[in-house]
Amino acid sequence: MADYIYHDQEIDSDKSNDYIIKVSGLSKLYNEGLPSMVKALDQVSFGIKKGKMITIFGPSGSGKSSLLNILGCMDSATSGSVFLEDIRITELSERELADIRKHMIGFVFQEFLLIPTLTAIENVLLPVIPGGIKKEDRERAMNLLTQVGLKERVKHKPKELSGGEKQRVAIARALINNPKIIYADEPTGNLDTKTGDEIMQLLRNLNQELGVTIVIVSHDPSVWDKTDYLLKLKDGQIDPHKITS
Amino acid sequence: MSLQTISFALKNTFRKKSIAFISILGIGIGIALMIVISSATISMDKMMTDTLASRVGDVEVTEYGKPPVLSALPENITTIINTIESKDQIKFMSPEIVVNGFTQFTSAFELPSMVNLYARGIDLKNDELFEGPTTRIIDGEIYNDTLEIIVADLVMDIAEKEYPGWLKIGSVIPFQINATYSINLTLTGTYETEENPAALLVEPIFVMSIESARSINSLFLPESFTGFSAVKIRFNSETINKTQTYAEELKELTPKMTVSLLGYFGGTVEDLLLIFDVFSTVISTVSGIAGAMAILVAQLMGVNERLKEFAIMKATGWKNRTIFFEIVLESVVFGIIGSLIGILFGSGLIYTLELALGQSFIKLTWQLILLVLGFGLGIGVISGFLPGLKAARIKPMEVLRSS
Ligand SMILES: Nc1ncnc2c1ncn2[C@@H]1O[C@H](COP(=O)(O)OP(=O)(O)OP(=O)(O)O)[C@@H](O)[C@H]1O
Ligand SMILES: [Mg+2]
Repeated sequence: MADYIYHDQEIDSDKSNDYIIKVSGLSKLYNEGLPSMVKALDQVSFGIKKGKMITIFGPSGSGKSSLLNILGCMDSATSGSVFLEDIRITELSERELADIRKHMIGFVFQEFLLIPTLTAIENVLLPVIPGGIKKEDRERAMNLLTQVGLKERVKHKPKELSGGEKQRVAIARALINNPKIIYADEPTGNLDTKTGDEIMQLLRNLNQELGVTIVIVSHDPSVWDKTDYLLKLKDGQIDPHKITS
Repeated sequence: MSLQTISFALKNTFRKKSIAFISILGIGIGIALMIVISSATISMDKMMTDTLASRVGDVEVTEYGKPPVLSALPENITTIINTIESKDQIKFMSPEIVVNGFTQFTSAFELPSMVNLYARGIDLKNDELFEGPTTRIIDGEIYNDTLEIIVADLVMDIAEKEYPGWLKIGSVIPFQINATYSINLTLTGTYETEENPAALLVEPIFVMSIESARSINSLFLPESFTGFSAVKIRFNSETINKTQTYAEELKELTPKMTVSLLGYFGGTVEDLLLIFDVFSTVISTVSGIAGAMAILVAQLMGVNERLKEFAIMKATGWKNRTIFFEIVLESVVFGIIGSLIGILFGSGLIYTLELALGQSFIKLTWQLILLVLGFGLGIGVISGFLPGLKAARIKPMEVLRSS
């Protein structure tokens, strides 16, 4: 069973740069000031060590996706701070966040989100398109597809791929820019147990081979055991109670 | 912006083939119509202005209230004309004699309806000043004896088509004076009609010497009608308005004369051109709006279906402006392909019209093709704007959350 993450004074005073993510006092309010206001995150603080794999879990509505969106530079925080390495991402502009997403972060989603008009390799290269695809990019995409076991599916369109294969393409896409960290929101949610296990195994291999930090959100207890740490959210706060299993 | 962004846009343009096909077809049809009408307008406009430009200072006087064939001006008409205040502005004059009676040609072959079916007796020296028909002989030679004529090549062409071999240099044409009496005229040469058909409005198609004209007229007209019928005057004038003021002076002379401006076709032609112009502008505007709406609807639908794709693009670092550019580019591709198809349809239509009318007066110009492509591009940019903004402005996490 993986260890739980708690807030730790050590994180704030971390001088050795062990932590890739440092969150402190993070709150997120939706519809602030309106009757429909929701407090999705409430004073959350924790750290994630470099090269580790962690799972965030908790009941529906507990703030998992909200947290991931802020960590992933896709949304702004209401208060508190988040460091990605030594960049304080909570105070960056939308354009700067887009740059961070491009160069430091990879995303994997439950729904794969492949572009149907592009082949597997073109989908992997999607993040590189605006800047122009170079020869190295193509080679890298080829290597990644090989690494995720799709050497023979390079030219296939998404509709010719199975769910597991699509998720492998999505994982290769998340890795194309050589990110420091990958966020995966329910990566096995649309897959059967066996395929889900294979995807988890793949993520674990990539984590070990490439040293990339991986943060997963998952409801699925079988995922929890396969990561180094667990973070349980409840009502927007980190739940200090370990589950008994 | 990379080449791949463009090729990415191209791949996405045709993902909904039937919708793409229908909107492109719609734009194509509108543009085809626009091309035909604009081509016709431009060609007619050009024809008219070309013809008019060289004649902007030209007027013709005839006896007041009489058509040229019945006009009788005094022998000393040029002296009278030279009494106007602006006489210094007269560059040169050509007193001419109109001979009526070539009506057999009307029944013999189909001449364009605008052609004047009478002959003119013109002095060679004067004709040279006006660069008239005798300066444009292309076959045979200028008349030098009485009862010799030259004809416009247009008449030769039509005659050759209807009665091959009948009309050629040296042919004798019986000129019907009345039911029982005719006089033989010998054809000595043909002259080139000005390239554009509008010139036929002001040029004769049969030309002979002053003497020939006078002796023919003396055979069947009372003596008072054997003098000059018309005088062409070229003023030193660059605008039709200036010519108009000289024309006013001519109108003050005695005997009273009808003065026509040869560089101005008068209200009807101008009105017609204006109507054409307005019509083509309306058609262009309507097809522009319709085309833009076709693309707009297709693209808005497309963007709505693809929100998640834009979400993942943004999540992986695509900038708003790149996504905007990509959608506008897709719309531009629609617009330009629609224009190309319109040009194709339009050319086909122009070709068919030419075949049907047997004469080409509509010309598709490069300028027009470029203009139409620009128009297609404009339609694309305008109609891509809204869908582009919509796609660029999505918030990835909101799109992904709602799934
Ligand atoms: N854009 C938004 N506007 C308003 N409320 C929101 C928004 N996004 C999330 N919320 C609310 O914030 C709370 C936390 O939502 P969040 O999506 O982070 O939960 P979650 O843990 O990911 O849940 P699930 O397991 O169902 O995905 C919920 O009450 C949700 O309704
Ligand atoms: Mg969620």
